[in-house]
Amino acid sequence: MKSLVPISLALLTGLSVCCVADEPAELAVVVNKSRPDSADLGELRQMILGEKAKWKDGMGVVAVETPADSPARALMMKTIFKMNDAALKRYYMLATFNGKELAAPKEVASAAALKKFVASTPGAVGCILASDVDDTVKVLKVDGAAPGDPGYKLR
Amino acid sequence: MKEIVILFTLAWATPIAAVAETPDTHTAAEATGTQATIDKLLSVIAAHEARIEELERKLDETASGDSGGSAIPKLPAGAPAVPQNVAPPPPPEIAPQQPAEQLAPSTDTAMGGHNMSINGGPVLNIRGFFDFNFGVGSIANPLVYPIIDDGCGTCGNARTPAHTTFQAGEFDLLMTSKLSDHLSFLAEVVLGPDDTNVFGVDIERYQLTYRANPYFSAAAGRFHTSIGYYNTAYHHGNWFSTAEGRPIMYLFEDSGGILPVHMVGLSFNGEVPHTEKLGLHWIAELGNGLSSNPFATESVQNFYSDRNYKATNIAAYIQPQFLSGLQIGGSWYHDGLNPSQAQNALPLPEVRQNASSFYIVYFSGPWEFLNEAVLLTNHPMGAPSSFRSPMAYVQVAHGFGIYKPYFRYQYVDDKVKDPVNLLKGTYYGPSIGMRIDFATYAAFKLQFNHLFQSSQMAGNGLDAQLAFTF
Repeated sequence: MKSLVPISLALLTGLSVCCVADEPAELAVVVNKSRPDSADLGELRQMILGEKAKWKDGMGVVAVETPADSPARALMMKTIFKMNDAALKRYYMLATFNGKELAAPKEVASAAALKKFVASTPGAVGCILASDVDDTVKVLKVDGAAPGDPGYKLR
Repeated sequence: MKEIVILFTLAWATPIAAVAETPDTHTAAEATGTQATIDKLLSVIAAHEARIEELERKLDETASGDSGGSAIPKLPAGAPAVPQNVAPPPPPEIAPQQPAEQLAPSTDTAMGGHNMSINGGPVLNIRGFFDFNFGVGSIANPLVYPIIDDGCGTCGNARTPAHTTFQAGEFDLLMTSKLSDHLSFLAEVVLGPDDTNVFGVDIERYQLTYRANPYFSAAAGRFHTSIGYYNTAYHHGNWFSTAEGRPIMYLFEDSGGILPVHMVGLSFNGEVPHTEKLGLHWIAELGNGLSSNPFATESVQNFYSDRNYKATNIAAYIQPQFLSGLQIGGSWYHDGLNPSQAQNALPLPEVRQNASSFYIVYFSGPWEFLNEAVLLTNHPMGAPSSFRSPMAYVQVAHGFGIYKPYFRYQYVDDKVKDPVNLLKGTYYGPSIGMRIDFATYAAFKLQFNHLFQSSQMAGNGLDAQLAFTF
């Protein structure tokens, strides 16, 4: 009987590990502390894609992003752009074809580099995983919800 | 001490040298593999050296305050390009206060696969597009590039038999150049064959644009008239469009199209202030309309206008922030044709021409919906009634990875007695196809067309297309 206890415990532990779903990763939109507290998802999309060049107060938008193989970039493509890399390239080319001048996000090496840049650039906006956020940057509420809130769209 | 170091070095190096000098211990394959690895590493080193030199050059330029100069990276003599199988170096970690201008955009938005500049001058960016087709059936190819002189499936001329052909599409060169912060130039030169099998050259678009701010831009030149959505969203690069070729209602003038899809003149556009949430945009255009003679060698009046009357077009559309990818818009075009004054004059009265359009398009993730309708009205002065030609199409597509099946249904009803339209009759029917993006910059499309035509039997056509950008 005693030998069954550790087995049962092991089974229970394994069961709890296997059956508790992983929390989905959440994307945090981070901005310089001088920026507003919230934005609409559509407005954010336009700013990061380069379609919208200025914040409401006239400050120039500088969008930055982490490298293509980073989880934050993948989540940004899925939840904000809603397209893959090839489609994004086609999108930018078509814009140029139509005479538009869009500024694609500038790439930095890591979430830490992105935070440094955003903290020191008044008009900067970028996306990192919510787990990488610290107090050097401001996290935007998107459509009224912040990471961790129910109904948050960027996950 | 020095002797000890030398002895130690020799003692360490000798066994390695001995191993290296016993080729009989290696197979030929291993030797080849080692050489390949060495070659690869050398090419990586050379590429890194080239990159370092380029960065040093940029630093020098920054230090000397020289912002001009060539955009082409300077490579040392004999240095190879960065090998395709070598991952590019990661972007640099940035220090606080690093200017944003020093960071590279992650996605190239400047079309700059090829560019050139003369020192001190603006950079000219060039990108090419091409498509190559294989068609079976009488209406396979006309939907891509119809033949209007000696028979086609869309112009009511029954002389074109069902045929099978390989077909060159449009060799399209798009050029852009930024002349200053506010001034830019765009040109699109297309080489394409017609029913004579001879390649012709057209400057399809050329426009010098002054962009004052998001609310006002002005362009002068030849451009695509802002009628509906498709005409200004897709131009001559077939790679961009999901389906093969344009809907019949938006066929180019030299392909038998009846709408004035090109205009030579002035175009103004911008956002409407304080409508950010709605994304309201305005467009106003003034220019030479189409030739008053529908049988003119060139319908677009590039140089000579056969009348003083100028065509006008106004359009507006919204791109609401609450639903990204949605665009709703409309336009109204007006012109006055004077066939009796045209070159090779026709004994016809003046014709007032109007084209009203309305469209709803939506792109969301893999989904694509295009819905457009245009009413073209030609009213001969003094006549009791107008000739009204309604036309519309619906296109739906959904992507599954690299595969994108699509469906298009189109309808064009052009009155047979209309005095100035080249296309005659009613055409309607479905097209179904599959687009496969087998490479980032190349796509294969297979499309089946079934077209009912008022003047003859319904036709079928199957067309395969390779479309790409380079």
